[in-house]
Amino acid sequence: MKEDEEQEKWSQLPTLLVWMIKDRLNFADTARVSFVCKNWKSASLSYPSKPTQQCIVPWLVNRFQCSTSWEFVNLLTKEKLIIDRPEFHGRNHLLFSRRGWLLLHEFQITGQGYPIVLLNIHTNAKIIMSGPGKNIRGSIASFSSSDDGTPQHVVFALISSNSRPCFYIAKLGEENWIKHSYRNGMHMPSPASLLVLGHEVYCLDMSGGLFIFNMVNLLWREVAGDTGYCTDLYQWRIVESEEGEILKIDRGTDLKTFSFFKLNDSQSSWVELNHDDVENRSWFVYYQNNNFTVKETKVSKKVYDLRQYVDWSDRNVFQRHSVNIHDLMNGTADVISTPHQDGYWVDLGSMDKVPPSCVHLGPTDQYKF
Amino acid sequence: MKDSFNPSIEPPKKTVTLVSSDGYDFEVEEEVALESQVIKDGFEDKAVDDREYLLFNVHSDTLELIIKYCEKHVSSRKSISAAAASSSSSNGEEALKEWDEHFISVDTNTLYDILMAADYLNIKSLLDLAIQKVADTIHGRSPEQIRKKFNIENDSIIDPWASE
Repeated sequence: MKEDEEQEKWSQLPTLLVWMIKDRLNFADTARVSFVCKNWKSASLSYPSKPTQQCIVPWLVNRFQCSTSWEFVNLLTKEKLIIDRPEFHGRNHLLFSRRGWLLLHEFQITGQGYPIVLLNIHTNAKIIMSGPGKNIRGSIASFSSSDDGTPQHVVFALISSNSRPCFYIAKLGEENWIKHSYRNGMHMPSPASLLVLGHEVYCLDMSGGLFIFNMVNLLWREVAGDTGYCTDLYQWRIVESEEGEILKIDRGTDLKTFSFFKLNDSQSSWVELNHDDVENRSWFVYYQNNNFTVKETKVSKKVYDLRQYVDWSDRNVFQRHSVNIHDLMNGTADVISTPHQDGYWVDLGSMDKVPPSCVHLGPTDQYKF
Repeated sequence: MKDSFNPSIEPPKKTVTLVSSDGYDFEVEEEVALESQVIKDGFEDKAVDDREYLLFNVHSDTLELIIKYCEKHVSSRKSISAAAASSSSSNGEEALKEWDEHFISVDTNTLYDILMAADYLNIKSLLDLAIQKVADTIHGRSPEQIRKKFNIENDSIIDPWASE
């Protein structure tokens, strides 16, 4: 065969075959495929991405105080992504993320203060609104989303002076924050985990009790915790499933004996998930309101438990993060140490294209797997 | 008793002729040719004495490989189902997987020919095998490394990963 003909071959690959190849690659690989040659590029532009087929694994973010670049690592695919956005400055706190939307809250600013930024890393769409008030510094916040993922209501959970739950709620597009507090019922020691789905706000307190607030009829409901008072902030979390169920993670008093529950249909009690329900799930947990669950990853039945610790090994004392991986199948635990002082799980949504503010994309080499 | 194991008494196998783009005839068993969905689809309509297929897009070098692949798959399927019927343990599927892996470990030039032939003849398992091989080759490589591997000229614009 002639040399020229050989040169032509692969660049002339039919579009459908390029698509079939992309179907079998992760998003970083498919992004690189687009840059090989013109024909592969045009095949990539028309590539019908299938977000529903992809499992959406939260990314581990490392934020830097003095830089607007954040580094995201996918522990399952071992890909690293660096996104540079002016909003990623050191004064902005990341409070929540869902399907590529990040909720950022500025916590030190002079004059009129504490704005909230909702940023979509795929479209760079940005919504800025005023924060709930100068004295409201709660870090437990969340938002609901419409069917296309756009944030709808932003909610901050706080504790009022009389130990009752209290939510500050703002609808997007309307600047005013409305305070809703619950005067009757159980005491709420401190909010630990918050979700907003549709018209309902779900807030788990640190003793495992659940408060449900309906934003339409303004009614409150409670689901008592299954054990008594516990001072540990870390034991219980709530997360949403892909189907919109409310799931509860109980880490046990030793924080490593996991069990999982589902809120029943009448939202009156918790039902323990059976073997089949947890079979193909993985769980990603961290401090307070930073928890996710994902179905059908290739490494199911694992808990990725992000932890902060102090590294005394050097003469300088550093705060560091590690991920303890609990294998629920065989009871073993593994540790991935990260070189970073910072860590947080982020739901970047489906990654079928490279985000516009991405400045680097490639395999990671800094993590000890 | 002895005769019952004599293969000569089996009825003669039906064959079809596949003609490569460079004019070579390959006589193969019917069931081997039927691995190709394209041949299978038009098979019933063809006259029994006209079982000849002109494969304008497949060179004899590639056709030889394709036939080898189909023969292997037909025979392994038989031995796997025979083992299952006699409920004797068999690692037939495992062995076939290994064979496939070895079969597809070819240079990118041959891989391209197999890929295009599998697509043209619509042999799904072979197409999957070849596509997966291409994907495995691409995985983790930079655009420049992919170009080098597949002998593709850089006709594209800017490459944001050039420095990587």
